[in-house]
Amino acid sequence: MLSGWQFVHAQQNFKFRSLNTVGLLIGSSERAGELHTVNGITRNNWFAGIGLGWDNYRISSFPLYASFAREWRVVKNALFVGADGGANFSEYRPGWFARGGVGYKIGVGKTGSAVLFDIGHSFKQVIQPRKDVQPCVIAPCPENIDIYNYKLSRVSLRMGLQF
Amino acid sequence: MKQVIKMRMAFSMVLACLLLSSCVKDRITRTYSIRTPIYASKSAILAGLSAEEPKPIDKTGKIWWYGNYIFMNDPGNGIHIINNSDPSRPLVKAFIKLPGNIDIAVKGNILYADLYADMLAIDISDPMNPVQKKLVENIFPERNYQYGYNTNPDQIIIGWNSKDTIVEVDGPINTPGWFCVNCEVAFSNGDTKAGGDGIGGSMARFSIVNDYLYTVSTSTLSSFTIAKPEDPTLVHTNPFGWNIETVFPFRDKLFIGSSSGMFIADISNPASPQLVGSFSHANACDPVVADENHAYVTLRTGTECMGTSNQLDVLDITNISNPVLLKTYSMANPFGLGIKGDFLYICDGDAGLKVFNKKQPLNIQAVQRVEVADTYDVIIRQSLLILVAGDGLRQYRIGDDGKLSHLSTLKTN
Repeated sequence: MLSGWQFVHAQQNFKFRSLNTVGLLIGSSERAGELHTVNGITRNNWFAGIGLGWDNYRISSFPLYASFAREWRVVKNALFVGADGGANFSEYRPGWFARGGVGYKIGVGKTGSAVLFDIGHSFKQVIQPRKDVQPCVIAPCPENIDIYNYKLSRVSLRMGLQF
Repeated sequence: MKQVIKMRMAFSMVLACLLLSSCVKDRITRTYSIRTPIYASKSAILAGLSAEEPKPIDKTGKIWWYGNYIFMNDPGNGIHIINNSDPSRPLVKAFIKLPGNIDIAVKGNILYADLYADMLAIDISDPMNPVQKKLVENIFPERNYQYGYNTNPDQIIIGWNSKDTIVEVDGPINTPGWFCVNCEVAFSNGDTKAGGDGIGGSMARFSIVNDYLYTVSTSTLSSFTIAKPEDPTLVHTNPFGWNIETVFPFRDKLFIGSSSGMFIADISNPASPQLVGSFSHANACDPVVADENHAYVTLRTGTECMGTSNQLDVLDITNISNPVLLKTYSMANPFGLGIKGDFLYICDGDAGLKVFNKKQPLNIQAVQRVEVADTYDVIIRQSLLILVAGDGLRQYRIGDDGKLSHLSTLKTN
């Protein structure tokens, strides 16, 4: 159990961080844009937060995920490694979303603000039920519901701002 | 030093992954079912004809409104009998299992229903104890062919075995497949329909006018006398080209929808319909309803329709032998429709049930849109409207202004 002093001290060590990035997704099919905002708390070089993004690779979708990162400071700047995991929402059924990456932060000012550069591997899943009705002379025509499972792996290049 | 080693390891792992080509691969799998038919002997099916306890509605199908009862087909499986004495609380009373059934009609205590290529006359005086009265064979020969499999005089398909198969595919994610909202559903309808005591929808292939039952196959209009309802007797057939879809009676005419046009048959002599007029349009599915001077035809795209138009055509039928197109209105994906006085009710697929004031056919005005997905067809009688949609059987009260107020929904399973 934390004493009063310890509790106040612990609170002081936690800091709110907002990471906002734009990016480019490079996959085997195409190149597409992405936008993300991750908001959470940082303490002792560790970060945990909740992220929401827009991913326009092949089909527009919205990942909602937990985000974790570890950084190694180099004076005002830092190298970092991050991992994200969560769900991917689109017009079809939800699938999984995951990302791992490494990057570099360039500190700006004294408030913890920084410019971010990040390269990583991004995965998203889209599950698309598709009703196929075969042409026929008279109804009922043969009808099938096929499930298309898209597992899309891309290189993700991002840059953005940390507040 | 230890920290630097950890950092290098982490960076190395991520970079190694990025360099592997498998990290940027789109893997797409398609899961689909391969179906094979389950056969049973026709004689055994007919011998076992019975009403079962009410069962959940798997899928909405064609309907027939008769007295206080609604008969609704569950496509390919049988017929739900629904007590509609209180439209705000319809009750499913029984289910008649009838494989291959798509179309129905009712006169008196006799239910007419197709059984693949054949037609049955079933006595439903006691709905819980249906009795087969007559079997008319091979009226719909095209239906001997089901999903790529043949039925035959002795064996019919009563179900399907399904086995899931997964294959890896490559293709664009947004490529629409052959898509048709509930293609297999077509109904019968209309407040003005001369169907004796019973009413069907605008997309029906069965229709009753007084003592005659008219059925359409893909190419033929068949006329049956049902003066003795339990003994439907074929008295006449008319070849009508190809791809006939619907039949709608109005006064002494039958309006026959085909994928390439609308035909009008005179039934002044009900035993021998005569073609008196026709109207050709682009290839599309096209249920039709009519009033005194106008016919309303919806054209839609869809799998078996092979068309590219989604629209409402208003035709002047003052000169019945020469229908003239007055105006075309754009629609989303229209299916069945119905008329009540000055108002026109159109099932516009996923765009819902639309109500229009048609007092001025050249300037039809939107009155209301009821947001229901997958709408197929309506039946209208007096101030009650029955809507068949993908999620079930809905009923509405029609106001003097044509607007609809919801009464009940009998949900699908």
